[in-house]
Parts: sequence; C-alpha cells; structure tokens
Amino acid sequence: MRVAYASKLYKKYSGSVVDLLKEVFIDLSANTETSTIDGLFFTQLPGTFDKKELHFPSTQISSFLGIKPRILRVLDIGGPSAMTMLYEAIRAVEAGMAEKILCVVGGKGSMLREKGFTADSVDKVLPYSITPYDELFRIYDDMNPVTDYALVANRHKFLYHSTDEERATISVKQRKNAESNPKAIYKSPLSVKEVLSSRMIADPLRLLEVVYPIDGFNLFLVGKGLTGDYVDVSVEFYREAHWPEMPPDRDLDVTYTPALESGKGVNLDKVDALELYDSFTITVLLQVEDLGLAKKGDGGKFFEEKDVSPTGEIPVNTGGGTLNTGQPAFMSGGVILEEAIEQLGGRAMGRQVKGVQRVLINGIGGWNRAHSVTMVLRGE
Amino acid sequence: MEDLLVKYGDIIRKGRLPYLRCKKCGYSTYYPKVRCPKCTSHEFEVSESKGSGKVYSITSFNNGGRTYYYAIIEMEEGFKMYANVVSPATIGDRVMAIFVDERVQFNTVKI
Ligand SMILES: [Zn+2]
Repeated sequence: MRVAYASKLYKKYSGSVVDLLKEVFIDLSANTETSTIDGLFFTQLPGTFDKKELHFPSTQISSFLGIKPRILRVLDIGGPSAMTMLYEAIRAVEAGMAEKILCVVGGKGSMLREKGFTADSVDKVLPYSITPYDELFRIYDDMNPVTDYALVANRHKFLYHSTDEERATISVKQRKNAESNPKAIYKSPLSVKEVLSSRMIADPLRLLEVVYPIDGFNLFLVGKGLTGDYVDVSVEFYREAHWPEMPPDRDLDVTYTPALESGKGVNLDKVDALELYDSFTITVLLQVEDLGLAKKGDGGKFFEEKDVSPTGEIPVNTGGGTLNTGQPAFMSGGVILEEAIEQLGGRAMGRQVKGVQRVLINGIGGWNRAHSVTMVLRGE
Repeated sequence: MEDLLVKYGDIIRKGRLPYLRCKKCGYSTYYPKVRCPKCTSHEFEVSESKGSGKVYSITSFNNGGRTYYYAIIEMEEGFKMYANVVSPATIGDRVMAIFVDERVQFNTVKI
C-alpha cells in the first residue's frame, strides 16, 4: 500500500489550530494529489483544538479540507491512534471502501501547557470527566500523567532494583539519535549526569525524562493509486490490547503495560528497527521489557548495554523520538509512525538504518496506559 | 451511580473509607464497576474498610510551593486505590486512612 505523509511541529504555533492543519495539508498536497481524497480518519485529545471542542469533528475537518468522504472515522485511544488509523485505512482501501484515506493526528499542546495542564488533567480547566465516578477519583492532588508514571518508575525501582542512571541512559541515547534529525528541537549532546541533575518533576522522573508538549500535525495519506511522492509499505504484524480498568484494580503489577499483550507473537528477530512510544523514559523502558527485548526488570540495562543508534546492533527511536522533537497535542504516535515510514522509504538521511526492511512501532495510550498497539511495517 | 455515591458519601462523612465487595466471591474494589471481574456477578455491597493499608508505590511533586505525596495504597481488605499521603513515606510503609474536609488521605503509622 502507498503512504504519503507530511508534518509540521512548532513549540508554539501563533495561528489557530485549523491554520496549522491547513499548512500541513498544503505541504502534503505539494507531495501528492490530494483532490481525490475520499476518506478521513481523525483523532484528537481534549483541549488541543483552540478554545472549544469540536462538534462532529470528522465532518468539520473534511468540510474544511474540501474532502468529500465515502468513509469517516474518529478514534480516541490517544498515543497509538496514529498506528490504528493507518492500519484501518489500509484495510478500508483494500476492502474497496475508499480510494484514498487521509489520517489526521495532532493539534495544539501549547494551550494546556501554558496553563500548566495536560490532556490528562484537562478536567481541571474544561468540563471533562476522567471516570464515571470523578467524585471518588478526582479528589487527589496529582500531576497526571507524570505522577502516575512516576509511581510506576518507583515501583519498578523497588521490585527490580532498576536505577535512575538506567532510565537517564534512555534520554542520553535518544538525544544522540536526534542529532541528525532535522525535526528535533533538542540536539545538543546530553550526559547521564545532566539528566540526573535536571529539575525533579515527580520523583524519580526528571525534566529531561519527560516529553515536552508542542503544537503540530502528522498527516498520512493511504491509497493504492497515490501519485507523486509516497512510500510503499505493508503491514506484517498488527495487534491491539486494551486494559481499561484502573491500574490499582489490575491483577498484574503496575510495572506491566498492555504491550505485553499487543506484542504477543511478534517476531523480534525479523525487525530491523524499533520506534517505541516515548512520553517518558520509563514508558520506553517498560515497552522494551513487555515486548520481550529484555526480561522484566532489565529494560534499563538493555539501554546501557546495547547500541541503539541507527548504525547499532538494535536501532531504537532512530530519530530521537518525541523526547527530542516534542510531543504534538499530547500524542507521540504520529511522530514515531512518520519516522518508521521515513526509514522504510530510505529518506532518513543521516540517521538511515542501512538495509532496513521491517520496523516495529509500538504506541501506548491513556494516562493509565490503557492502550497499546504493536505494528510491524515492511517496506516494499 | 447516584445511589452508590450517596452510600459512599454517608460512610465518608462518618470518617470511614468505603469500598465495594462482591457478594458472591468477596472480591473488593474502590472503583465502581458493573460486574465483578473475578466471578462476573453484578451484586456488590458497599462496605466500610478498616482504613489500614500499606504503600504500594509513591511519588512526590511540588506545586505552588507545597510538596505533595501521591500514592497507590494497598488496603488490608485487598483493594488498591490512588490517594495522597500527608507526609513522606516509602513503599511498604504502613498507613492509615484519615479524613481532611471529607477527603480521604493517608497518614503513616509508626509501629
Ligand atoms: Zn465476584
């Protein structure tokens, strides 16, 4: 299947969110024919579309972009939505439901960021509920999602004797990979010591372990008959897992993520590079374990021991991930999916993995890690 | 949900910690749900916890010049819940539910 893509990331975009979307759509239109798009898949998190939430979002967006759709879908699993949209778009095109489907992921993260909130604490500034029983749940002082991931990181330290240095190594090695990524906003070399002396956000997670919310969109156009500039890919593995219960209610320890289930059956030996969801260092570490790259507890050691650079034995987050590009609208999925497609299309310039055939992309979603999607894309 | 919130509220106003107990298998949870994940029964009863538990995991953060402790507490009755702890604590520490402005929090217990 052919996939064309375009993206723009800004620390803070001065115009409206639809102006930003328009910019990226015009970029996409310069690469490939977009007047014949007949499908739209859309995802969005609360508080990322200017001052108001969208009523009938997919209608509004297709109307604005001038798309006459045969298929419209909205997805709400946050982080991995981009991967699921791409997969569903490929299936829908194969099933003849549409010829060309546009997947839209992004928005503005700066609006909530400037108020000191995120899409996960949006209920403190906008009329959203996080659970059907917020009267019992939202009575605490927290800073989710970072405080929730901090609980996981401390539990991980307690159970497996993992160290702050191990997690810091993830920031250091991803920063190194970001050096040759033109989309990265953080590129200067980083040391473990610098990570561990950066400001504490929620013990034990420090500033340089936490993604920075930004504004931006990733667009992916899927179709058999794309013209112009595209990459040919096929889906070799795809699996979702959803753990909607509250983490304290889970049988498994909170140091496990649904990647344990979505990654079941994936052949890691055949994978040439991995793009792992990197909202925090601990998120990356947990996926390394739950996908089976290291045994439980040894995710940090994996990063200390392995060369994860694009020329290394096992390339991970080849563009430095969203820890270094920033996270558009509280979802890293679009950025890591685009990196995978650029790798498969041989367009990754100074960070190209030589001879790459298959890239594993794993997305984690929700403040409580409710969703995981594991996908392996093969370049054609 | 409204009924349940009233029952939870009555217990909280007495300075006790409410939770749900499956009438069939005894599974306990703080977070309301329609069906018992263990035995699929729909029948839960609202119970009063003894309020005693231990820290499952904990973090601290600063906000507006104040330090907060945010934790998951594992209760003696078997359920776990998110809560603030009023003072520094580490994983495994014994804690007791206390109520501040009808909000449940936990205090460390000296043994
Ligand atoms: Zn039961």
